[in-house]
Amino acid sequence: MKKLVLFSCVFFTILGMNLMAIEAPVGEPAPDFVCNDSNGVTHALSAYKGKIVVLEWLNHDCPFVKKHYGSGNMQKLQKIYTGRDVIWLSVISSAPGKQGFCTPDKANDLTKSTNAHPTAVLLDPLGSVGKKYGAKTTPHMFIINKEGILVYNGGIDNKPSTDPLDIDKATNYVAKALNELLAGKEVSIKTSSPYGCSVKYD
Amino acid sequence: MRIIFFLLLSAHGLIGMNLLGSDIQPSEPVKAHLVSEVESIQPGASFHVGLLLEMEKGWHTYWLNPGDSGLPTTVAWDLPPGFVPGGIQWPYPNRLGTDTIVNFGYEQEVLLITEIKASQMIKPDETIRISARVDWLVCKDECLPGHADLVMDLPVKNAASADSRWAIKFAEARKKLPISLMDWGIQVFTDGDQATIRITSPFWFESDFTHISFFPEQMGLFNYAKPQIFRKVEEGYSIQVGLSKLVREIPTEIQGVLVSDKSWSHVSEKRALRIVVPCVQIKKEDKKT
Repeated sequence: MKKLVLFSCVFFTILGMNLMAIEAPVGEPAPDFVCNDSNGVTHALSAYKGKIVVLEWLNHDCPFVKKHYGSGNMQKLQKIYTGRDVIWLSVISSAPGKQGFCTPDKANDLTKSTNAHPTAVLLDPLGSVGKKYGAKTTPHMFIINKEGILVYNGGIDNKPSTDPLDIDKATNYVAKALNELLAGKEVSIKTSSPYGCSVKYD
Repeated sequence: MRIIFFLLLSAHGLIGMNLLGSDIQPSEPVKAHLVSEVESIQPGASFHVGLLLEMEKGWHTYWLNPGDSGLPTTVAWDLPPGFVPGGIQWPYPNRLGTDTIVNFGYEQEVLLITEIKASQMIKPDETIRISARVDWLVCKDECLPGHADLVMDLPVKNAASADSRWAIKFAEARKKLPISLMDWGIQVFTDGDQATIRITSPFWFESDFTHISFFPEQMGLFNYAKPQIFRKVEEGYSIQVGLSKLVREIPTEIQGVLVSDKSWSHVSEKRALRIVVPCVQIKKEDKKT
């Protein structure tokens, strides 16, 4: 019987704040975190200063995530932008026993079977990174610029649905923001309503 | 093997049936039916139909603003020429979800009423076919998108008559429809990351609310997880609601539903009040540097 090893993510508590109602604000420094990925490698956001970072909240069983993975849309974005030196971190904040929870092996299997191309898949079963950012849905997208400022917090695109046919009709906010950042411009659409299944916190 | 064969047979049998003018659809936790308040329709007259969603225990569908996650139920009508459908009349929702992620929706059963205006050009003894494509998201711990193609035939007759089968369900749903009342004074102020809704009671109001919840219709404006603070004040009541930090621009108008534990109307029992109110931003006075 394999021992179930839980990778917990350290976060910096701010006393007195209602963690439940937190939303990481755009225009401010993105909340720092330290979190292990599915290969046991530790990632600290602060170590990525100088790089553009994308955080993608993930639950492979959620029909909204399936929309973007089944169609290849998410993997395409991951491949294009990691190829342009963007750090793409998929984050799984599902608690053990809840939908979407992954052991390291399961996370790696899913990355392989879906042909995903994130830089890493962060395992956040205690939900600390998710709650720090106020990640509400899967998918929920955050983009951090090279100076460590949060420049996008919201949905992946403007068509909240589970229908893959909506992808081509939609404005992809993530692609738009990354293109602007890579061209040295400011992100024009900084927030949108995230849509998806609720993140399965404890 | 035999069990699978039996299940396949039953499924096939169910698909062959046409219960209540609706079709059986694949998404198990929800059964959708198209029901009518009337047995017949008259040329040029308006009538009401309803989309009845029956949900299995523990599952829920969503209000027009689903909250932090989810999707509202949508209906696309296929009606004969000259027929005009109205929008969905949403009963006030329940607050669902957790402390972290809040949703607005319905459990067990909901009837979504729509008014349809019939064409002037129809004639008695014709049969009119009303079709609707309904899409929903039903969730428990997991979410299942579902849809149904529903069909209903209604005869055209000169005299109106009600379909008594659904009268109670229509009455119950209507009780939960928000009313708009002129004699309640509502003001909304925003100040930083809070919005305050001030409610002034009319002269005839002798009752007392022990609680009022605000359900916003506009998405992305409010922080649903932040607890709302309800207070009794001199002229009535106030509710403090957290604004979302992600709001780029405070809108000029707030739309939503106030749900209380007592009636807003002295004529009938109505627990929900719809508000459409200008939103005033409070600016801090300039301080001397």
